[in-house]
Amino acid sequence: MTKRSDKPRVDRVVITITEVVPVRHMWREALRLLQGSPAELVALFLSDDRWHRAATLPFTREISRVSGSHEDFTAKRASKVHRDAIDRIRAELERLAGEEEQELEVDVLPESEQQKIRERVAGSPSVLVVPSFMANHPLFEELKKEGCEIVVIDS
Amino acid sequence: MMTKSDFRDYQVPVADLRKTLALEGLSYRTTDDVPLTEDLLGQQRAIDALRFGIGMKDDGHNVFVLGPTGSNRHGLARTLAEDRAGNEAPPADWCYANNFAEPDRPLHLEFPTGQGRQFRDDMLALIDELRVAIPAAFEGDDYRAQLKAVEEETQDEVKAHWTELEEKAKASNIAILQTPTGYVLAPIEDGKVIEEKEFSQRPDEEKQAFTDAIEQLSDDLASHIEEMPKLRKQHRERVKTLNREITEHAVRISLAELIDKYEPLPEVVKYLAAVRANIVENAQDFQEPEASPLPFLQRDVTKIFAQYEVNLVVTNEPDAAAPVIFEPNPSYPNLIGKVEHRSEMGALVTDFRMIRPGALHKANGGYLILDMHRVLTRPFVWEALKQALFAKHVRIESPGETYGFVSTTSLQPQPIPLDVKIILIGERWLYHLLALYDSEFNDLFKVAADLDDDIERSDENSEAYLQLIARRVRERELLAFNLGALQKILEHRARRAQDSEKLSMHMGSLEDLLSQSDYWARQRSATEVGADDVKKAIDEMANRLGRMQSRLVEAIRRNTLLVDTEGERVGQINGLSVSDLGEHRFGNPVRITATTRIGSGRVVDIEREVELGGPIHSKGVLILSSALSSRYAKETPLSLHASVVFEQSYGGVEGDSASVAEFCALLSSLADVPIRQNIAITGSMNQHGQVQVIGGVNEKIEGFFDLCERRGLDGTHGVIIPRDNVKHLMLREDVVAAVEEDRFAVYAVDRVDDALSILTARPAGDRDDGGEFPEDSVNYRVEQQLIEYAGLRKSFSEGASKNDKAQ
Repeated sequence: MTKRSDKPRVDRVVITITEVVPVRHMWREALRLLQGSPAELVALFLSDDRWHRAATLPFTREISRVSGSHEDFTAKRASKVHRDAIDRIRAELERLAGEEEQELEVDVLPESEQQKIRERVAGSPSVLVVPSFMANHPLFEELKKEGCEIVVIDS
Repeated sequence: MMTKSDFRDYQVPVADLRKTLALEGLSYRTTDDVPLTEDLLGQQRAIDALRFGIGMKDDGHNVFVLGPTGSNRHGLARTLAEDRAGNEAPPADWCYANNFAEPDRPLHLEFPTGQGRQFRDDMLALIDELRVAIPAAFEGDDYRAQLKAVEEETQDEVKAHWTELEEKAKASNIAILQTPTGYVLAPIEDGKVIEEKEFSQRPDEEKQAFTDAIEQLSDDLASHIEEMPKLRKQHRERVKTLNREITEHAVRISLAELIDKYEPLPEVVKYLAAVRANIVENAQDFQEPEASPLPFLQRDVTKIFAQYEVNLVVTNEPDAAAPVIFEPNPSYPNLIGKVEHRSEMGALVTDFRMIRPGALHKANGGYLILDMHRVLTRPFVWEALKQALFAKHVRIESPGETYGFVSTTSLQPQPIPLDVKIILIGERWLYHLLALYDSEFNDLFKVAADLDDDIERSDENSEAYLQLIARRVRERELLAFNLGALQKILEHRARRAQDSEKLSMHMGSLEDLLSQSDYWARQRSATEVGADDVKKAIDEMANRLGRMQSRLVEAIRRNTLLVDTEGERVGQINGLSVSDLGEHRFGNPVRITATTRIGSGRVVDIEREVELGGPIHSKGVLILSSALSSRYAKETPLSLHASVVFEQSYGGVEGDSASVAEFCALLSSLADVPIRQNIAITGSMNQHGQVQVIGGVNEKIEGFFDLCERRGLDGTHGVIIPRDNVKHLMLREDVVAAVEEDRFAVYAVDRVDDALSILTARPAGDRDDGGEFPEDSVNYRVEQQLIEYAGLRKSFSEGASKNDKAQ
């Protein structure tokens, strides 16, 4: 489901991504928003630092989405999964941008660094493409109040 | 010495040298005036056989038309088959269609005449309709709404599972965190994950409660994950069911109309039901595919719809007759049909639409005419034809499959029932060979239609023959032939039949003569073809093929080939041979010599000794050898050694037509009586000295006449022929004229003695009541010589015996 509030001018389109978002889907939506506009395109990777906290616990297991099997989820494993996810998503975004000859900046910020996120996004009219499971995050409510447009993508 | 006047009785009357036909009594002037009837000329036996074979419906009554090329075998077979077919209804139409259960075994569908084409068009129209209707149904709001409902239903189920899990986790202060590859369960407090340092400070009971909850939730989560494939499958089934309903709705009306239309054809209705089931079963295939990044992997909707086309392999017009098919090139695929292939990405692929019918399919329900020689020379065709006739169906498969040469999977189309009358056309020897060596041949081809080479030259037949000529002239839009031309043609047809009382039925040569006569008439800007044009055509034809004849004549003229036409020689005679070049035959004289001496009773055929003589020639020499011993000195042993030879003959010699000449040369040598060289002779003989008919009598006489005329006819020249050959005489007009002017003579004899008298100009001599030959007769001298040889041999033998004893 896609919802959008109308705004007359956009200087920046921000794809808000995490380790588990549907990148291609969000990319298409961002392109649609950019159509005919000179706005800047930014990919903001909000890394989920809850994993890292969970990984410090000795009994934490990762349950495979495919098979349901359990595996130890250590700090090392969390870092690797996190790194791999960033690399994969960055590569995917850069490939998509290359195909469309679109300039793209990818920033990676921990979700907990909300002040930095606000600084990166605020200041000029921006549209944020946000996965639905993050739509209710307090951060986006605040950004909305600060004049940013939020476009929610089903995830 | 006897003179020419002594042999008057043997001279053939001028009237018998060339039997002309008086056409003046006919009421028409040219072929334009000749009334045409539908009657077929001559060949009554063959026509009756053909009509019987064509009409006989029992198994195996296929027809073999025997006759030489050019005998109008095809024309006759086609005419009679078309006559019969004209009264028969056209056969059914046949289609091949996809077998959805076994795609490599296409099904056949039978339709009443003309309906096959209609069905094909109906299916194409259905496909056009479905190509629009089915995607439209899938793009419609109804479908979207229903699909969304199905998706929401599934999502709700998934969400319900998940919500239950999440609430359970929440109640235990556990967070379910998503990673790219799975889920992590972690204890939380105030929405934040509790880290290890903080967790370790919690009371043991609390820690235990968290770990127990996480363990329980892990199991629940695992169960939830295991449930997902079932939910996905369930979802797919729901979507599939929805797609089926949508597709069925889209095709129901169109197919129902077709099923109603073809209700009287249960197999077709069954096929249409299979089409409907297949379309519904594969409903998702009809949705417009998403673009693939690799074009060659793009699903081609056209191909999906193509499987519902039908391949119309045989169709007939409802108002047409039964088919009469002539297949000029009866190769295996042309006769049996074939499955074609097309190249796709380096592989050969095929389907039921690439099945091609053969002549058997096209002629099914009618008549198929084939050249037997071609059937036998095309690999595997004869066996395949017999197999089809025995099995009464035609199965399309490649020879490679039939004989197990290849193991590649290909189509195996359902065999089509076969009901066809085969008319094979071939030479007589081919028929007899097959009848002798192919046991199945007689079971399948029970009717032989044997074409005569010629017909009786009766007035009735001559007039019918003129009608035949007139029909050919009109069909080929030639200039009209006047009576003079027609007379010449009939005479030439008698000449070609080698019999003045017959007319050749070789239609190929007749048509050649007609068209070439027309050509020469047009060359002189004539409006009709006259006798001179026909003569010109005949002469030019002979001239074109006359190189070898000219070379022989030249060789004789220049004494390269030695042939005397004057004087007398002992043991030397002019025989006559015929060279056959197909459409041109000519005769030429050949010197035959004989020598005799004392010996053990052996007559040596030199041709045979060097293997240049054929079996019939050798037989002739053996007969004359036997005649020699039975006619002369019956009570004394035959004590000579004789040899006969065709001088300057470097090719093979076959036939017994020179046996009288050889015998006379032998007798001349024995009797030491010279033979006239201004006479040539042809004829075979039996052991009793009777002269028997030979072939090519006209050409032989003309061959000697031409040589003598070139050297100068003085009235003494002539040819001796068997009396039974007189009826075959159709000599050239110049030869007849020479005889009429007493410059040349043709003698007909019954006995060797008659020939001997003419050749030696003295009586041959008949035995008197006492069994003795008259003194000085040729036969007397022969007998005396043989007795003398016997005596000498006896004395030699006795002398040798005494010498042996003395030693």
